[in-house]
Order: sequence, then structure tokens, then C-alpha cells
Amino acid sequence: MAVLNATLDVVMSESTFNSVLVVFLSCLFASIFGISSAWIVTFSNIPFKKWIQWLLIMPLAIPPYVMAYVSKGFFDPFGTLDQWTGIHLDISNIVVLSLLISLVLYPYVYTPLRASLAQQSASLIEAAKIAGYRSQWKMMRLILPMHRTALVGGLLLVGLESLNEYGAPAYFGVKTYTTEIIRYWDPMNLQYSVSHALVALIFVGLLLYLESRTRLKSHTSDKLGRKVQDMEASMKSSLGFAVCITLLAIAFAAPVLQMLFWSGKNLGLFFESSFLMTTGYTFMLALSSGLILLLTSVLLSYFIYMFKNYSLAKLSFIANLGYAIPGAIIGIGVLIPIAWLNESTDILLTGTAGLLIGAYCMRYQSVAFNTVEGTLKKIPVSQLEASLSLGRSRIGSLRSVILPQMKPALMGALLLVFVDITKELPLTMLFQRFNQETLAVKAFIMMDTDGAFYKASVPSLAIVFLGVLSIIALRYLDSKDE
Amino acid sequence: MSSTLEIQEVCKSFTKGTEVLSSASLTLRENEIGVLIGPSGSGKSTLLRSIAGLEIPDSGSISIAGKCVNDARTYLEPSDRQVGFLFQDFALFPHLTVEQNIRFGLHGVDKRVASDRVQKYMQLCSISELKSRYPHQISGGQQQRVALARALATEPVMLLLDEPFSNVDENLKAQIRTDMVELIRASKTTALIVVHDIEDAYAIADKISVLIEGRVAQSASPEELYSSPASSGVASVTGEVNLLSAKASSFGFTCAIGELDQPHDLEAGQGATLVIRPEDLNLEKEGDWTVEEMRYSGIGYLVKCINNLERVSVFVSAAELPAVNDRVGFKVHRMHWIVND
Repeated sequence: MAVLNATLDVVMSESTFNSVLVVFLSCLFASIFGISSAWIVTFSNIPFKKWIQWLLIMPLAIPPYVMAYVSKGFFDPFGTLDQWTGIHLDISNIVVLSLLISLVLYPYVYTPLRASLAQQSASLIEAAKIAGYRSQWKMMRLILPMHRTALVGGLLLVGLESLNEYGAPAYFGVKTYTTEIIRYWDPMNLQYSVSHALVALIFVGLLLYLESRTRLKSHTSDKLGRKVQDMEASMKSSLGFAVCITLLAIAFAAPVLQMLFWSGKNLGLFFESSFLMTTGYTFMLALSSGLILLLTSVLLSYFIYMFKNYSLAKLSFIANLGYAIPGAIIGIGVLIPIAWLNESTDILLTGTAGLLIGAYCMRYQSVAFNTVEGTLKKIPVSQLEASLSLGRSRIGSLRSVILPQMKPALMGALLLVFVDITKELPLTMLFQRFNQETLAVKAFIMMDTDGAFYKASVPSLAIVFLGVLSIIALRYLDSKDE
Repeated sequence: MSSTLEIQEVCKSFTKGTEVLSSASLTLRENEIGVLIGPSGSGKSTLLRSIAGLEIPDSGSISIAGKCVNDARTYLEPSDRQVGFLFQDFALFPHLTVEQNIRFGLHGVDKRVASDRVQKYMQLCSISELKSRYPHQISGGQQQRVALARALATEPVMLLLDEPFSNVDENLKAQIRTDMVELIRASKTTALIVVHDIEDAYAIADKISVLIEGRVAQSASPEELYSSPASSGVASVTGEVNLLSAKASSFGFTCAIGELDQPHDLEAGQGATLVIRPEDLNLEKEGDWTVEEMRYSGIGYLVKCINNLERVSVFVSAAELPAVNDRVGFKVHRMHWIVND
């Protein structure tokens, strides 16, 4: 009853208002950045197009809380802007927060939309041109609805990620579901934590429902014929170039340069034993979770591949929900059974590395699984059948035929999960061991500690660096795939 | 000679409730090359895959070399059936070289024996010079020979080939077909080959089995199949043919062409379907038929004639070629008939 009452209170609370507004504004801004950049690189002939095309993914390497931190350091009193011009701005409000989140999350919209636009039939564009569609605006209104599935899919990710975000709103003092779940995370107040999680879960369900409703049931893309990607982009656009460059400068180059500048003054920190310990601990957590996820993903997807088993495919769908559910809610989901175990067995399980790894595995199962399964699907079943008919067992076939062909994808999946875990904040905040911090937690705590503000750029930069590395590596694997 | 393959009343339906195989039966003797043919969706590949153990039949039994590999109580894993399978896409392992691909099935065989075996089959399939290349570095025809060598190297009791000619260049097909049959005969292996082109079947088979709606409608030598198809369904997959409905009379048959003299043992008035090949008809200058269209086929012309919605095709040489809309008749000098049920 207490939980129900608390839940009803949460529905009408400030955190509901803030969470909805953050999700809405982040999606709005991200669609402006994502659509315009995808449109420009697809349809206009800008200089360095090949480079810009994939540099536009880079902001994804910066976690929102790092973006919030850098911006504060820039605009706050005594910040960089103040030093240059004597002007400082208070940016700790919900609109700027959403803007900053969308600046690093818009690649979720940009990437699928660009891929989808590239596959658009060229003759349709040409037909529209013949029919007199001259302005870009009119053309957009004609073409974009056909790519609704990619667009909405990307926006869903932006929405879920901004709902999941802990660091940035906490840093800006904006109360959201995620910040409240973590704030009440203690035995005395746990019911508030749980009730926030319940409401947030309903919100997630609503987002998923909206996405499934707007998804196109079928899309009539003719497999034959020329695609937009084969078309010569005729329109030279210096405005388009300026838009892309500005976006890249604000969302990636400026924050990275700013952090490089700050950490340049704190180089010694890189070699301090505590920093090395933190890095080591983070690597251990991320690597062991990554390996576990790889193993479970390989086994699950291999079972589906072998038997084309529908009920298992359903199971994978459930496992995959993890990514849709914000980390803080997963934390509650993990905590409740553990708390029950604690009561009955009296073993203190909370706050162990094992528990944290388990929670990571729940949340990132889908990231690993989708990468692994996506690649496995491309291997013709005849490969397995040939191996079986040549006398190998199913496990033997996995080892000697299937896995060797999946090496790049396995590396890719490991890398993706590794980087996601390295920058993960809410789950880590819930289950971290006393005095053992990950890079993300360390960065987050230092940002908020007087005297350590600029030093926080060191772990932050380490996280961003890993993110950039993973994007480059995946890009390389992708090009090899082609 | 003993039979290498014995399939009895195999049934298989997939989840949607459609029966792909309904009581299919088939036998192949040792060293025989059998061909499975039938319209698409007739269950050819499913039957072949059931023999290899890649599909599990719902009922029926399959024996290979006298050993039951599948019945109500038995299911032998593909790896334990000692059959070689040549996949439509060849299924070469892209991460292994040609030599490693061929050696793949010799896992657990004594090293020296395995090496000798690999050498032998690479030579037999003339791919020795490709041994250190990867599959993507060789041509389609070469890939097929590697796949065949890989399947043969395990010295299987029988070889199953799923549409081996569907991915080869039309110009090279005849040559590849001949080469492949020679290789299979040289290795003294029983083989069952799924094809979709009747020309291929005639060229390579000792025995052709026609699969129609999941059932083996006829198994016969190419000559017998061509001259005496067991049903109109079988006749329609055996090449260009005229199927005419007819009634038996005391002297022969009455059909759209007219009254045909032909001794038979049917009762007068009984219905039958006449199977008349275009080359077993001659064109006559007078009659009730109208020339509708003509198609050049290299050796001569296939002339299609129409009369009251009935159509008859006849093969003629350039010398006797009529013009479109000419009135013509026919003289039949050979026919086969199928008694209507």
C-alpha cells in the first residue's frame, strides 16, 4: 500500500514533469540535428563528404554527463568564457540540459536515417524533381515520411538514453526518475526508489508502444534500380557544409579540446596509482562482463541459428528488453531478489563486483546479442550443414566453422559492450563497492568536488578516448565486411 | 547388386501444415546415379535433405547401405550417416584454403592417410594447383569442383547433390555436367542429384525419379520416362509434349486430332490421355487446325496450332514450314496413352 501511495505521488511529481520534458526536448533537438545532418550528407555535395559522413558519429563517444561537465566549466563564473570575455552564463536549466544530451545522442538518429536514405530509390527523387519539387523543404516533406521507421527507431534510442541518463541531470540539479531512484537508494527510503522505478517503467512501456505504432508496417523499397547512394549529388551546398562543421565543432571538437587543455595541466594524474587502479578495476569489470555477454550471446544465437527455434527467439526478445529499461530500474530489479536473499541467507551480497557484473550483463545483453546474431544470420546455414555432413558435431562445427568466421563481429561486440560499460553511470552508482570506483564514477565525483574540477577531465578524456577508439574500430570492421 | 538407398513412405510437413513430402518412396542401387526432378515446391530438396539428416521426416523410413538411419525410433545425426552433400551454394568454408576445406571431413583420420586422400581427390578433380587459394580467389566452376572433392574425400557411401547446375554459367554447363558425372563414376559412388532442368536429367541419370506433390510419381530410366510417362503430371515435366484427352474405340482413340488407329487393350468408351511428342507428329496440308505461332529452335521449328481451344505443337523442318494462319492437319506415327482414373 505504501508503495502504491508513493507511486501515485511520483506520477504527479516534479520528476515526472522533468523526465517527460527532458525526453521530449532531447528527442526534438536530436531530430533537428540528426535529420539535417543526414539530409545534407545524403543529398548535397559538400567538401570532405566521406570524412564528415562518419565524423558525424563521433559525438556519441562523449557521455552526456561529460558534455554537461565541460559546458559548465566553459560557461560558469571563472570558466573559459569568463576568462576570455568576462561574461559568464548560468546554464543549469532543463532546456540546456536537453540540448547538451541531444548534441551527443543525435548520432542515434543520424546513423539509421542516413543508411535508410541511401537505400531510397533514386527514380522517386527524380520523379519528384520532374513533378516540380524544387525546394529542399518540399522534398523533405515528401521523402522523410518514407523513412519513418529508421527515424522513429533512432528517436526511441535517444528517448530511452535520455531517460536513463543519471550524471547530466544530477550534475545540473534537475530531478528525474533516474536521479530520484539513485537518491533514495538506501534501506530507509527504498520504497521511494521502487515507486520511481515503477512509474519510469510505465513511461518506457509508453515510449516502446509509441515507437511500435509509428513504425511502418511494410516499406515499398524496390530492390532493383538505382539507389540514392548511386546518384551524383548535384547540389553544391556551402550552407550544408557550414551546418555540419558547426555541429561537429560544438558537439565534438570543442569539448574534446577543452578537456585536453584542462588535463594538460594535470598530466601527473595519469600516472597516479589511484588512477591506474581505477582504470584497472574498470577494465576488469568491463572485460569480464563483456566476455560473459559474448559467451551467452554466442550460445543463444547459435541455438536459434541451429534450430530456427521460435520460442528461443522470443526468449532473446525478453533478454533484449534490458537495453530498453534504464539502468536504474534494472538496479531495482536486481536488488529486490538480492535483498530477499540477504534476509533469508544473511549473506551480504550488495556491493560486490559480481553483482555489478550481473547487472551490466542484464542491461547490455542486447548490445552484444544483436551484434553477434546479426553476423551469424549472414552465415548461410549450409555452412553448418556442410560441417555436420562432413562428420563434425554441433559444438565442433561452432568451434571450427562458425566462430572463425565471426571473429570481427565478436571483437566488435566485445568492444561495444566494453565501451558502454566503461561510461555507464547509474548502475555503477547503485552497486559500486565501497572505495572502488570505475572511471565513470571517479570522473563524476571529481566534477562535483571542489578543487578536483579540472582533474575530472583526465578520467573523462579516458572514457571519450575509448569511445572514439571503438567507433574507429567498428568502422574498420564494417568496411572489411563490405 | 544391393540397394544403397531405400526410402519408404517418407512424410514431412512444415509448421504451417502444408505437407511437403507425402509418402515418398525411392530406391537406388549401388553405383547408380539417380536424379530427382519435379516442379518447384514438389519436395525435391526436402527429400534430399531428409536423406542427409538435415531434415527429420515425420514418418517413414530411410536406409543407407542396408543400415536404417531414420524411422519412427531411429534418427542418426548427419555426421554419422556417411553421406556426402554438395550444397547449391557449395558451402565452402571461406576461412579455410582449398586444401583445408577438403581435409575438413577427414578429422580423426590418420594423418598420412588423410594427406594421401586429399592429394588423390584434388588430382581427380584437377584442383591440385589451387590448394593454397581461398574460396573467394577461385572461379565458380572451380569452387564446385572443390566442394565435390571435399564431399568425395570422406569416401561416403553415397553422394547427394542439391541442384549442382543452378549456379553455373549456361555456356559451361554441358562441360561441367559431363565432368561431374565422370568424377562421380570414377569414384564409384552412388549419387542422388536434384536438378530442375530435364535436359540435365537425361544427360546424367541412370534412373530418374519424378516427384510431384511430395510423392514419387515415377522412377524409370530416361528412355522409359520419355516414351512412357506414367501420368500427365510426369509427362509435363519430361519436355515438350502434347497431352490430349481421348476416348478409346474399337480401332484406336478418338481425340481432337481425329480418329487415330492404335491397337490397345482398353474397353471401348474408356477415357484416356494421349501423350504425343512434337516429333512424333507430321504436318498435313489440309485440316481443321490453324497455325498460331512458330518458334525457331536451332534444328527446326516448333509450330503451335489451335483448334477450338485445343492446342498441339509439332516439330517441323525448315522445308515444310507453314505460314501463320495456314490451315493444317496432323498425322500421328507414335503415341503413348495413360488411362484416366
